[in-house]
Amino acid sequence: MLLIPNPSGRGQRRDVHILAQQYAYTPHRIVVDQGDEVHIYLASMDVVHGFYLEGHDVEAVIYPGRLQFNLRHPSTEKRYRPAEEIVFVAARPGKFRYRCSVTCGTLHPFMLGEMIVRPNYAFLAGSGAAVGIFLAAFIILFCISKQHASGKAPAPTPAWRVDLLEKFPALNWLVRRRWLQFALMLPMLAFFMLFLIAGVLGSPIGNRNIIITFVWILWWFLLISFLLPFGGRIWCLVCPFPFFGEWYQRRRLLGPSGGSPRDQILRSLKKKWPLKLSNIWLQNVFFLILCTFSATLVTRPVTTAVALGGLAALATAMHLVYPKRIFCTYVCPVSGFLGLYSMTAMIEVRAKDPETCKACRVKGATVGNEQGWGCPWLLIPGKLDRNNYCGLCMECIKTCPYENMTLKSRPFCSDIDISRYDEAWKAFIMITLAMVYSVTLLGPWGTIKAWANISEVGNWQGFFAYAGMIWSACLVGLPAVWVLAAWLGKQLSGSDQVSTKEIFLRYSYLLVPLGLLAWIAFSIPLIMVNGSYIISTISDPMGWGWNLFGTANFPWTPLLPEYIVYIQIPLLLTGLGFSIKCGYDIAKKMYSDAIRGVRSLIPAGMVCTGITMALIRLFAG
Amino acid sequence: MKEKLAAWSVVLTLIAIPTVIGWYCYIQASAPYLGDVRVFDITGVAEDGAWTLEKVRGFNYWWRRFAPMTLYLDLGDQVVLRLRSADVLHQFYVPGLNLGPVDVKPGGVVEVKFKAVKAGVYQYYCTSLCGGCHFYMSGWIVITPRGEIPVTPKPIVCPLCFPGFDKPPEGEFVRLGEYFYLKLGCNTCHGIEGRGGVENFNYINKTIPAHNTTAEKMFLEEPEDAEAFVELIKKHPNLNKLKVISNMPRSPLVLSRFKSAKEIINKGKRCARLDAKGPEPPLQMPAWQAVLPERDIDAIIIYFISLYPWEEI
Repeated sequence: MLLIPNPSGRGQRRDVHILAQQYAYTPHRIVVDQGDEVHIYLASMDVVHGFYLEGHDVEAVIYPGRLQFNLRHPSTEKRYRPAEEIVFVAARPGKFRYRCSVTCGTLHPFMLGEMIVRPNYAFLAGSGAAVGIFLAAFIILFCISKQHASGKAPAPTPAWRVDLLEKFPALNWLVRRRWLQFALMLPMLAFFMLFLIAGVLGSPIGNRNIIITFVWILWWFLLISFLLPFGGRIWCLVCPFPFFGEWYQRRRLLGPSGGSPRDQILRSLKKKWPLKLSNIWLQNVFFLILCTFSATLVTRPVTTAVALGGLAALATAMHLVYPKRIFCTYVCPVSGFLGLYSMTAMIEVRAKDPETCKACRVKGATVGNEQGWGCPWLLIPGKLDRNNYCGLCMECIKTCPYENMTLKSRPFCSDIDISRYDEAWKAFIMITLAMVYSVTLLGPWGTIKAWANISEVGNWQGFFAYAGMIWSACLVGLPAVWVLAAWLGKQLSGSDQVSTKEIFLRYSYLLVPLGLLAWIAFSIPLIMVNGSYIISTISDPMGWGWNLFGTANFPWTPLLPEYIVYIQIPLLLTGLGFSIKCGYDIAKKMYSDAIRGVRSLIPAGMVCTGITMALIRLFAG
Repeated sequence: MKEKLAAWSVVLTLIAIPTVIGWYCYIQASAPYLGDVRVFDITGVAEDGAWTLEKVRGFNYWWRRFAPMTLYLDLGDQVVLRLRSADVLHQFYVPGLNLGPVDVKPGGVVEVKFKAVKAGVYQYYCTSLCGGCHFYMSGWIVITPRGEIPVTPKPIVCPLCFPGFDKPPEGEFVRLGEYFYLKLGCNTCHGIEGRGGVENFNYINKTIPAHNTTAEKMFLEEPEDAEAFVELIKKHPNLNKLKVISNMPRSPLVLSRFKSAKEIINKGKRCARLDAKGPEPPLQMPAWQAVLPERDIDAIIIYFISLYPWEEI
């Protein structure tokens, strides 16, 4: 049995009895020392469970009511054989999760426990590095700002921009095609239909239904890890939700065909959207509601189908009543965090020369002309200075008669201005939820999973406790800490130049790069551990036993799961670095004296470091 | 022109997707089987303890109670059973027809083919523990000669989710024992109130042992002895570690029987076959040690002792 020579020769024997039960293991955490000889005995309380130990080439199937379980070493063996114990020497230090490998019910993909082999270097190094980044960053910032004060600092060089349309003529041609958005939306619409059908009529098992694997593993991972940081709100360009509504409003799919000015007038009841709701509070609330039911949403196909179908129906209905993309701008729960995190994106639609736009009388990009529609996102494209509400539909690039609108590439985290409460709270909500999900979905605690799993367990008391914790942490807890940090920052700065309120709002941007990278770090295990479900559901989208491409029986195969922490920790540390760096840029804007600015940043920087360390603790500790 | 093309492509997409799914479903369901074959799609649902013929879908799984199937076949039918699971791993077994046991994993289809060659009523089972209703996950396959009216056996329905099934407080051993006896489904094999009599196919003793005679088997021959021993179990959590009890006749025998009873509940027991070459008996005693703490097993044994019909003797 996988006996690795004991390197130190001082290892102890550790006997661990592990009991599996929907959807956790008892004990949920084993701590051993490097070199220990570990004997694991497995039993199940309710149904057939699996036991896949990351990094140890061990996979077992545990049958309830039997004294023996089935064991194999998946890298070398296909067949299982009966066993009474798993024996190995804990040779490698670190964190290794044990995961259920036999579909055992709704929350099966999140059933796991943790084995820590001490010394846990990754965790120690990660935590140390977080503190180190915090200290080093502030030492550097103080040095820079001192030089600045004594006049030695060079004039700040403006950040780089690359005009992508100038650089790539093919792209320039492409974004000016009237059919571009339609051609991208139509396949999405087709997928969306397939997903809805699969969700309603397909298998009730989440990991065997394409709506779950494609939406919550593939789409989510691509969206948060690639589309957002590199493409901003590029998803809004292809999103199928507003397809029918926009078709109705515009009366056509491709766009203005040159004809009469009447063609530019959008069809709708032309109701005015209330001013009080002209912010992203509705998006904040809707997103929180969806997230409260996340355990149900991401595991039950029909719930996802109802939620997505409902949103598409709402989008369509709102397009009939209100002109342009009111649903997208003010209501869509996905749009809220896309807007916030698109501030970091390495892409932007901007005017080449803002002066041209100021002098322009035609305002084609705003009102539309025979080349294209006026901005559907209720923006004045010439005045764009942040990504937040720009859906990258490329209409302004088509309409501008001076070819003054363009698509630029830029450094990560180029928009740094938050000055509204709704946006600040979006930042609080998002980073809190990244932590909450790391506990509920990626953590080993069965009780919390049972609370969150309301549709199966039906423990309303536990669910309300869980929901109450999420809502209060998002809406009150972290903001309260942030108020304290802002107040302390003001005291430390020793200046009345900037109010506590302004520090609170402006510095809330620190949670944007950190939050985005926390979400990426959270999403990496989704794809690396459960990505193989995508391969099997491609061949059997409904979970009906089809085998379209011969991959339907592709087994659940985690991809190097024991190395996930070595991706997560650098991501989190990068987020922390960008937070403090952006904080400094914001401080320079707020304070005339840079040293005072850096001082005011210390408490907020400490909170960010604390959040980073908490996440490292959850992922690696 | 382009506009029309775009509009038509949308309409086409909306029609094509459901059509293609429906068409593929149709050819998938019928094509592989040539000739006169009867195909049944059967889904295992743990929550209802049923192998059902109803369609289990994303939308109906969460609210519907699926009815267990009674499969009516004509003598001589060529049959294909397409087995699926809607949740966890099940095992399908029809010992009387020598079908299975086959693992039915969530995702995918397992096919079982056979010819109905002998008329009769055959019981099918789920033989891998699949949750609270597992022991009710059983039903009937009825094979009748063509033209005859088939018998209609009563479906086996899980009653566990019915109201009024709360756990009694600690310390009430008899009631606790009865609670576990019903909750874990012991009654499905060992009979109502431990009366036994449930048939186990190809089992050496034919029927599964009763438990209302446990007192007698443990050499507790008088009600007073039984009462005294029950009091002892209640007082001593580790009674099976003792060797002799003072003031009790034949206490080593009583204790050894008590120990072996606990051992069987803890570790389970394989049932020997009547015909060594025949199929494995479908009902096997599971090991409960992972589920039941020692004290709960004590409660179950106290419940068994309380079932002895003293008055009738």
